[in-house]
Amino acid sequence: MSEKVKFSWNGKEIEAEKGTNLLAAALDNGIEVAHYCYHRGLSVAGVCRMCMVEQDGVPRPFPSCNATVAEGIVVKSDTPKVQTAVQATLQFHLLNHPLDCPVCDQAGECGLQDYYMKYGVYDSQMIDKKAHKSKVQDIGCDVMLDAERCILCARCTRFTAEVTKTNELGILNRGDHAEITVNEKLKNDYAQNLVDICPVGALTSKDFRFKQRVWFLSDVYTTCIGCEVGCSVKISENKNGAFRVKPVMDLAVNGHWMCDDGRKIYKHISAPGRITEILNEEQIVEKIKGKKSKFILSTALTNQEYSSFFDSLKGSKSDVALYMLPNIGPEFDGILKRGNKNPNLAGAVKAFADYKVDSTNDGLNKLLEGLTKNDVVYLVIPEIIYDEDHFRTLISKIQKAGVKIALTPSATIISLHEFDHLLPVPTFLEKNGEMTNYQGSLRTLRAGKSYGDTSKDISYYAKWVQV
Amino acid sequence: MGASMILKKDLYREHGYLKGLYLGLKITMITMLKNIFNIDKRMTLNYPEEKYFYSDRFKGKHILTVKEDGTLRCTSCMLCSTYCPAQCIHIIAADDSDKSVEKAPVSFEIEMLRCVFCGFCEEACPVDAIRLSGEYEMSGHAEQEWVADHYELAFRKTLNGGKGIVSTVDDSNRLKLRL
Amino acid sequence: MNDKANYTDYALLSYHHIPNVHKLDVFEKAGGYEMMKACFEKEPDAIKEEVKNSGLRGRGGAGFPTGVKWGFFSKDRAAKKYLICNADESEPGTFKDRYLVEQNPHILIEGIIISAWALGIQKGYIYIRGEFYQQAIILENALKEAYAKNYLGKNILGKNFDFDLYVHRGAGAYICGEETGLISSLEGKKGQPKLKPPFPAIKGYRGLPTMVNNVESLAAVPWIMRHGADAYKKWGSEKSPGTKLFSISGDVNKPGVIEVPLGTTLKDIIEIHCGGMRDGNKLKAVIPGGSSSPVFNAEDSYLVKMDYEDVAAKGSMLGSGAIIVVDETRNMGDILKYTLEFYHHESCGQCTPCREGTGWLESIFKRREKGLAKKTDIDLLDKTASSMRGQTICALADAAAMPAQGMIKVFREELEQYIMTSVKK
Repeated sequence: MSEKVKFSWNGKEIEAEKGTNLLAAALDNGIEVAHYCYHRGLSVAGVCRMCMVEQDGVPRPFPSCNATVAEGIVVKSDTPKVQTAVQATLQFHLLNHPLDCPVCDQAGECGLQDYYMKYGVYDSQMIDKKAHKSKVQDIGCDVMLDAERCILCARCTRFTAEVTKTNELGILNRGDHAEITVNEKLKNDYAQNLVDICPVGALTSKDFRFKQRVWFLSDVYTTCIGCEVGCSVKISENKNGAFRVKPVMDLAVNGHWMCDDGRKIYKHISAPGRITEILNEEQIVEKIKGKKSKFILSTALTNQEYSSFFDSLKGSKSDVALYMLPNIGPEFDGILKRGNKNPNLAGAVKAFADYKVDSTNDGLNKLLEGLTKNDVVYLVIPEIIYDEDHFRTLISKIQKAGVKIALTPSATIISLHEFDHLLPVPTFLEKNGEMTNYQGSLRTLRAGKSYGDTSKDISYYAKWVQV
Repeated sequence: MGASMILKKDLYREHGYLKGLYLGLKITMITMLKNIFNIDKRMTLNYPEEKYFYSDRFKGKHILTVKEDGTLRCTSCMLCSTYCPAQCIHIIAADDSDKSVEKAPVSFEIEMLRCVFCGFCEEACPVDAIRLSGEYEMSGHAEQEWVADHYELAFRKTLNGGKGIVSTVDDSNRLKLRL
Repeated sequence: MNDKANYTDYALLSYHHIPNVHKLDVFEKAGGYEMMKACFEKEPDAIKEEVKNSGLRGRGGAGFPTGVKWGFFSKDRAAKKYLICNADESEPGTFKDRYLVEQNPHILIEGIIISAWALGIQKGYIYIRGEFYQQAIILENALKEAYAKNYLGKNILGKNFDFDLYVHRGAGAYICGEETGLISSLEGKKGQPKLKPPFPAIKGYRGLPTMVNNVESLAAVPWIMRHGADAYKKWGSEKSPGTKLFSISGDVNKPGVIEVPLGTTLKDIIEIHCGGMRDGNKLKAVIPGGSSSPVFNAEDSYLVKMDYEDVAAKGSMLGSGAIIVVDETRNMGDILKYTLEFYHHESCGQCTPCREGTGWLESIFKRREKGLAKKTDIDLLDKTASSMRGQTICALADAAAMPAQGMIKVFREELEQYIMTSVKK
């Protein structure tokens, strides 16, 4: 246990670990402090001048982001001096802001809007010409830059300098002509984080651009299934579908960030053409009667699904194997991304071991070699497929089977030419459960809205076997 | 019971049958006589040959206004569809090729049968892109498609012969500051 | 300069009457570098003590006692540390360091070597303003001569003390005169001030302890060592001892650089040292400490004594000692306009109040060019300026706000008249 210190903020007693950033300590304790440039995952810049506080015994207000907690200090952010200073600073922030909220994607979750409601000077005194900078720039990696909306908090430049160490972004010019510029194009796997950390609408995502207004969306806090890391994410969705993925701070697993590959995991959920209902269920059940069932599971199922699946299968003589996605890229890229793309590999291996089934590739090969005309193959399609060719080889190997059934959570690359039946299973956003990541820690999946018949998971189909 | 149908026996006893009739139809008869002898001031119209003009404040069928170059003024900020109590406005936005416009609707639909003509959309609009017109004739068949798309909302025949209503509200002020 | 004065009355300019004193042999003949050699025999702490006792205050503008600043510095002589001489003199109206370096670069180099010895520093930089091209060449030549004599370099004069000194030319940004901005620029980054704390004395150039001193402060060190702290204290007042270079510009008969003891009245400076007002015009105002200091009206100007305390007591600041004299033919509005333009142009763009505020101050003041000015704009200007003060990392926002507020305080009516005179094109 590290040492704790006690201090007071606006009269509220706060306990924090020694050496904690003063602003972070206040935010941790549920105190609202206006700030733009401070971000826990980045170094301190101290340029937005919004988090000013007064401290007893210190002659003038100072930014709380550049201070650390100390025993017994008395900090105040609600004094008239600080309040007027923050109000004036916000006025300066908005001075050259184009106020194009109607066409700005950030509207609704914008730092400027939020603090304007609290600290705004509602009578504009600005009748002068605003400084103009370049708008609508595609700076690569699906990020759009609007330099005019930028408040030059320098979070993005610090991100590329400190986290990805690729240094693509910088600030050009001085004074009110200063603007964020990109050196050629963004080239890193974490560029979408720039959109998240931008407190205003200067950096927006091309993927999400103009798709929805954020106030129409609700967030589901769940886990990314892009690879074995299992980053904490929130997925914004409404009745029309899921629209974006954003990381949630989880210091044990992903810190503040997530990779760009993970941003695309929502796409199949509400894609047109997704298999959402079982057609001719009785016919299928009739067709598979008397045949031997063989299941090939994916690694993107929850621990609960695995065990209930094996439980439903008990007593039948079905074969089960596990299809593992091949590794892509390096084992670990130094930031977050890992080469192993199986989100619940640990959980699957454990479940297979618990029920004494071979989870290795040998098991899969044995199952594939033993296929005959008298077999029914159920292939659970992995939710995210990075290497299509690898997966197609698997599909070509199961063509020997008599009846080929795909259990698919998406509208995937497969078609009825390769399979006899396509049957729906829920996506990761439509089920509750847990996955085990590479560290062995349990990651929770939470269900959001349903975009199809999601009541039937793989154990439902396992029950057909015993009919 | 049923001996007599007359409810106000004392009136009947006093005035008799015809006077009772006259008293009952007094207003109707006076108006009828006035209309016969003073045709211009009668209160009814020969609809649909004649049409009534409501005040400008009447909230009828929506108009999407256009800019001077004939494109829609709407920036698809979706404030109208957010504010709409009937949730009848559906907008799909996309990038505009003109970078100074940036965002424009590719589809703007109003479900006319759900609309309650409250005019909140007009109030919410920050750029005077949607207005409620004085048009009130929206009769039609049940099987008719009752969703008005932006071609109908902006460029129907009644609006400036299909060219749309041009609005430049605030534009001059805004452009002055951009100088 | 002042012809009547006896050159022994000067500390910094005591060699300036000697022709070709910028050459090392001439300088040495006149007694230069003697103190350096003498100081190598002394304990470094004794030198520090002497400077502290002399009460020498930083001549860059803030007036923080140099000896006290040295006292905060790392005492570990073996550790890597840097000494930076701030010759990035960019404040409008200031040209004292230029004059000093141009005429006598060796007095500065001697001062730097003594300071480096006292502080145990192995590497130093003279960060000179980019526009001072000639002066940089003079300094480079002087350094070459000093290296040739082994006054710089490895194992100086066999004293087992290494000290390397380099001249670094800036790229012409006002903000690089601020010590952390200067350090950023020296590191090869964009010249933007850094957050304090940590202060440069703890974590400066390349994250190592760095001492940044003004040219004039360092150049005064040899004199103090030669004559002793008490002799230095004879000049000036109790809290502002010593002499100071003043760069006088504007409507006087003889503008230029003078060295006078602190506490000399502004009246004496104008009337005696500068030969009075030009064409016998009436004095209207004086900006006492460079463009960033609030202005004095005529009465205050004649009363004020030029030392740190008295100028501050009268509501302005001594700054770098750039006295700008304004006579009655000038319009204060024009002066403020140029001042605001300058600070708008020079804001580094890091902190919001300064980045946006300096630009807005200028646009408010220039509304008359679009015919949009109102009388209340002066109040808006005052309010905006006051909300910029004390809000930023460095003092540039204050430097832009103070002259605006000071000018409004003293010449409000004239400014109102000025902004209401429409010059719409």
